[in-house]
Amino acid sequence: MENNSNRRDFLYRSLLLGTATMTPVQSMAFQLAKGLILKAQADVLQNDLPNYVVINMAGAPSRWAFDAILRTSENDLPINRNASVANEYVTESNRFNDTVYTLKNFVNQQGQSCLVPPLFFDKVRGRGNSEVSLSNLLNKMLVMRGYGTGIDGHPNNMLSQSWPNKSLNSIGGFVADYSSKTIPALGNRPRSSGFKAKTTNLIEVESIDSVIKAFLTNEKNQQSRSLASQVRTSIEAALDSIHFLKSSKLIDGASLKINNVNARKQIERGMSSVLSQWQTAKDKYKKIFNESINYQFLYPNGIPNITDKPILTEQKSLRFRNNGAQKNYVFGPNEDVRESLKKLAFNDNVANSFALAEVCLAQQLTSTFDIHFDGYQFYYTYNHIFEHGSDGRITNISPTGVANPHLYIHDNHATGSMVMVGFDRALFRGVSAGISELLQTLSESKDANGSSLDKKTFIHVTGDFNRHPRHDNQYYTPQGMLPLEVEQGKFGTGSDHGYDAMVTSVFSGAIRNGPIVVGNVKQGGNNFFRKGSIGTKADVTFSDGTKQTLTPVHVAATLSKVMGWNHNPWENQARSLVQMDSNGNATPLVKAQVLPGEN
Amino acid sequence: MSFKLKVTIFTVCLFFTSSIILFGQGCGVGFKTYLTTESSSKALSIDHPDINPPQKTSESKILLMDRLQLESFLTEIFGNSIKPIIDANIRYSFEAFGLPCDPYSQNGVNDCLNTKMNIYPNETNFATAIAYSTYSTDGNINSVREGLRMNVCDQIIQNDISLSFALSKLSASLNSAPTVANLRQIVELFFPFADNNEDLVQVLSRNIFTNDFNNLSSPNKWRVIFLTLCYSPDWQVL
Repeated sequence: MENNSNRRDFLYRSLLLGTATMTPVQSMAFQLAKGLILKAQADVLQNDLPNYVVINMAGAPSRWAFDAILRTSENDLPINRNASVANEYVTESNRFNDTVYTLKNFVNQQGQSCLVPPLFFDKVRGRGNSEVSLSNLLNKMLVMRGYGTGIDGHPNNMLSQSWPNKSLNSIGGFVADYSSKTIPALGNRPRSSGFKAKTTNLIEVESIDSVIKAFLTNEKNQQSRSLASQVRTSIEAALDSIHFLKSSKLIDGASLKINNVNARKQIERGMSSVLSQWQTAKDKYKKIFNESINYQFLYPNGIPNITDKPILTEQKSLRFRNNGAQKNYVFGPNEDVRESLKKLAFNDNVANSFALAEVCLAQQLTSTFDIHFDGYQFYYTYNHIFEHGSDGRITNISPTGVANPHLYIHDNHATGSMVMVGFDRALFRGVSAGISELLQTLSESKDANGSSLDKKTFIHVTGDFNRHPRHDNQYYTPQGMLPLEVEQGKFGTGSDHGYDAMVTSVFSGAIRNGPIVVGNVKQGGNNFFRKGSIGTKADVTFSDGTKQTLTPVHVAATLSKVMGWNHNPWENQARSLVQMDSNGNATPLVKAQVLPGEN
Repeated sequence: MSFKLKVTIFTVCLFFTSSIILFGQGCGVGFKTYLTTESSSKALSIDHPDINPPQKTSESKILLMDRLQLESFLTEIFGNSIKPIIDANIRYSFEAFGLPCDPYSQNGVNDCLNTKMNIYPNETNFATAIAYSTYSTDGNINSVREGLRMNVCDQIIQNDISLSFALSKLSASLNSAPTVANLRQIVELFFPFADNNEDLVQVLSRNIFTNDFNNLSSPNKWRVIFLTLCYSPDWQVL
């Protein structure tokens, strides 16, 4: 029987109905399912609450270099690759003149093997001047792929990654609601990335000052705090009395008091040492990011197949499309973008966010942290300017020390271009180096039970979607229609959204037998519009024969299980794709297959 | 029973139920006719609302003062001399106190420009400024807010000018000894809209006027009373 009749499956189908225009009957089914989900929420274990960090890369850089793993085994069907699905270059006559999508075999500590992008064999900068192999991250990695929303749009898809069901909490909000930390949810959000909780709001911060200045004792408040300490018992009793008579019976009255008491506890605790930790962490992450994305620090001769050769042949031009400006930029022959890559730097906000997450989690001030950065925060700091002629062709790249607006490709729409293979590798080298250091630092911090914080912390790397190459022929250069090979994306007609070919990954010290990859993808096709063309979702089949089409709700349900919750708000709507044992071993409940078929 | 059969049965039941509800909602005359045939006791409750007063269906959530309301409230009690303290801790702490933009501010959109609007940092239109600010428009409950607010309390009570301003409302001075009557006046300052603060005054007089308190100097006695009331999170509730 293809479909088993069980409650979860029925609710899942009911909820699928609920996402479309609803008839009254469908609406009632939706409400019924919603009620059961809310009941499940009340069942959540409150002990040993995990930490949740979401890294939301808005604008959605394509993830072929990072976690968009299209094949996990050499036995998988080959992918019908578009030329712009790429993570390395191909050499001809001592120059790169084409791209390729490459996966390498990795064998984990349990002897399990999995194909992964070459990035994970790179060295990156660790703390001090140390070198770290990104393969260390693989044992802690869970990849969920082959899911989608079915609906296009940046805001919708960005929010769905960490807040998949708008009638429920977000994943971070779910953690925050059960958190007893002083500030349950912190984050840096240039745009809303989807945080919703019942009992708390996310506090937006840019520096540690805005977190702890409220709790610092200094010369301005010292006298009063000293005076208060002399009659502390009286003041405590008086505050209790005021609260009892004025606000205790109000909804959220308890929350009002708890936040006041927590603030006073932090004031008494003394936070001045955190300031120096923050400064140290900021400097550390800035160095880690910048020396990891700038290849020459660790690879003076270049990263093999990425920066060890010039990119262009003398015969071919390199194009990418600036979607925001509606222009096609054409690099002339003999361009060598390695000089550009040497100048890359992350915006300091990114390092600051990682430093804030590290300090606030290690100090156990918070349970969730929202790290959010746009693509431009990476590309804007590229200190070259492109000079171009009136026909739109790039005529020169000159180092000027001026931020280059041309590399702010509107929402990463240039990710289908050849040049971006190098840039995306750099981007994810930096992000991976940051994740590696964050987990390493947390592994050296213990909670009250003596558990290492890295085993309680789950770092969820999301974007709006996974960018895909275009297959259409809608774009023109000043010289007219692009040649066929350009139409096919080979030289960068830009990218589209891929909202039905999403991928996301989670890193945690609680996962010990990674990389685990779950979710099916199709071999590929030629869908020319935004839902995605490579790695598009394909139904998964559970061991009882139930088939489901994966959505971001499955990601939330899976992540909840990995985080150790027996029950979660999403489980009635979507099954977890893995199960965890007490030793931190994750077992996939669905296979990761490449299935035949087009979109 | 097969899945399809279950779905069919369930769908029919749902359709039947929803049809009744739709009938009630969409066909008002028929539904009303049904109600008017109810027993006379229900009709009585309509004629004499005191007999069966309606129950309140839900409590409203707490709404707290936003940053500008806090500024206004504390300035009313302690005078304009507290402005630097407010500016440093509350006025621009959008992340903790909410209200990213005040459309009635005399500073115009410049107030909004202190908020974090990375997308349109030079926006001069209120609507856009509010739309692209990522801060909550609510005065939400959080520990950072409470810490900052208590920081303000700490600094205000060490400022003799602001403390004297408040005492002038009581016709008292720093060197006079506070009384229960003074305590009542201070409670009224912090809870001006309460119908009856007498219970609170009585409890506070027992809590505050202790032996430790009596050993303090008069100025410090005033400081402790104001600090206690100011520390309380409860007067912020709107």
